[in-house]
Amino acid sequence: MLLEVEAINTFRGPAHILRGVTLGVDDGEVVSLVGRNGAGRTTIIESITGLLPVRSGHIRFRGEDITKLPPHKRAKRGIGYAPENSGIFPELTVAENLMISRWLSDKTARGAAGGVDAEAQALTVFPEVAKFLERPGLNLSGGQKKMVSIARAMALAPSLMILDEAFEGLAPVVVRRFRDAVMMIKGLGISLLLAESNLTSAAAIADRLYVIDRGEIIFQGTPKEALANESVMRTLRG
Amino acid sequence: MTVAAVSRVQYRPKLLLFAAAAVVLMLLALLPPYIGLYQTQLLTYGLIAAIAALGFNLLLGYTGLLSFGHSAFFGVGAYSVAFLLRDAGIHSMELYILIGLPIAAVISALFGYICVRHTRIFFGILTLALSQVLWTLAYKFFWVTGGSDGLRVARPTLLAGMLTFTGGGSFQRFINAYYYYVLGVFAICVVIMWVIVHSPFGKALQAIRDNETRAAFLGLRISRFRWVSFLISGTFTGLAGILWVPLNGLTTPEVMYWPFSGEIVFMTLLGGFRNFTGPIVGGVLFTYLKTYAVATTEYWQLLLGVVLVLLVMLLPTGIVGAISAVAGKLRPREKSS
Repeated sequence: MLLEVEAINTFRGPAHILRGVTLGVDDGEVVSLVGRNGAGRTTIIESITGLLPVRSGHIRFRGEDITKLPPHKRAKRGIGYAPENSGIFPELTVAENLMISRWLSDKTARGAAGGVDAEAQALTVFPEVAKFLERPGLNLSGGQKKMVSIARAMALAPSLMILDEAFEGLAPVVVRRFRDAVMMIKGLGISLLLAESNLTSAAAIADRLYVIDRGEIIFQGTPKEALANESVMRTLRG
Repeated sequence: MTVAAVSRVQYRPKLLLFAAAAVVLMLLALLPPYIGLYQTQLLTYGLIAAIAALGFNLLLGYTGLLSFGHSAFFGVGAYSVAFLLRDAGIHSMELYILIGLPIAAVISALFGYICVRHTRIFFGILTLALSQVLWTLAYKFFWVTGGSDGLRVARPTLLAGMLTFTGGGSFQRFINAYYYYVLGVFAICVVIMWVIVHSPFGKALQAIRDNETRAAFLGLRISRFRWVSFLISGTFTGLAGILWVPLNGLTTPEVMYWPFSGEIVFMTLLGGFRNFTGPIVGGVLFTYLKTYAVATTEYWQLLLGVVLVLLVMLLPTGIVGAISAVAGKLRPREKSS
């Protein structure tokens, strides 16, 4: 297993958000984490990326316990992250945004193995990005920001990409473009963990699904099983 | 598109900018015969202030950390020269720089190690407190530092002893030669700082400034980057102190006192801290502003205070920032006409 999250409990201030969450992502797998707003999806991602401390439980990446590692060390181990708000540095150009990741790409496991031009791969997945390399991050549209955010995370040569709400706020035609991109990333041998609120979107591309509600995993299985599960559908519809 | 292609986009030479810089440098080199000795001396002070502000702005403008303790590094540079002259009998300006710079770098590294773990007001207060520790040492240990009398510094030799300044007319010759010496160092500092802020390291600093959390998840070790930025920033300011003291002929604890840190902040705000040239313009302008304010009224601090208030209220991006904004607004009109 590439990523193993084992019985983690995470708090935001005094609030107990995640309650014994366990999940995993295998090599070359696309896994979706589905839940309504406030269910705990972003908290799981922030726990995995090290942005929120985990009170108990373990997170392992390639068998190594990374529970106590700071975010920059997790990134160097090969966890790429494209957040919901894209997190583009507004005053840097797109090329400069990519450059920051590229600089460190030889330190990640995939990058250090050699033979991977991570940035070229990123621009293969999103060739559109090459057209606005000189534009400041501030002047990008929402879809362009998401593209750059994913390309920037890819430029780090990660083994696992975590995409938080990658399809949210996009026009249907653009959503299809992003789904294709996710499949291309998978084709490069990179595993993906997608946090989604829309089960239909998630089911279209995921190999496996986890459904989270009120900080607990209430379902795991294939997309087909999830769509056929009345209890899951009822929970997600609210 | 490959890494090389993206790099080409990134490092495409900005010919217009380099040409403008070359013209400014040439004009500065041609000035002394036309402006007289006093103005040459004043401009030399201005260029030294510009080096200090340039270094300071790596921390404020590019890393997002406001230091109120940069007078300490300026003072370390100045006192290093004074000690080298008094205790080691060194008279060479090049040796002052070669020995003084590592001393300023070590003190900056030490202060930075303590301060960069904190941000915002905590960072500012720590830098202020540490700089005042050095000021107290300089003020109280009079048998070492000369106390409030300070230490005198004679005119050094320049260019490995090729230029010496003794005998009749030595002051005039020194001021003229030293102007070109400082101008040369200033040009080197500008080039080095330009390379730093446009390198991946400089971009990483800007990323940290804009979103520390996001930068951490791109693999950047935030405290390490801030520390290196602090070190470079302090060393540049230390260099300014090294260059300043032979011109001033005396160093006193006043250069380590907190109002001088405030002056470095003022210079940077005056020119504008969100652009590269702002602190350079601010350093030179502030030198003139202060000199003429002091000569005009005994309430010169009040005058400078009013200027600072007006600056913050009317030109929050500084003089260069305001000019850039106006130029930016005019550009589309030019195309359409």
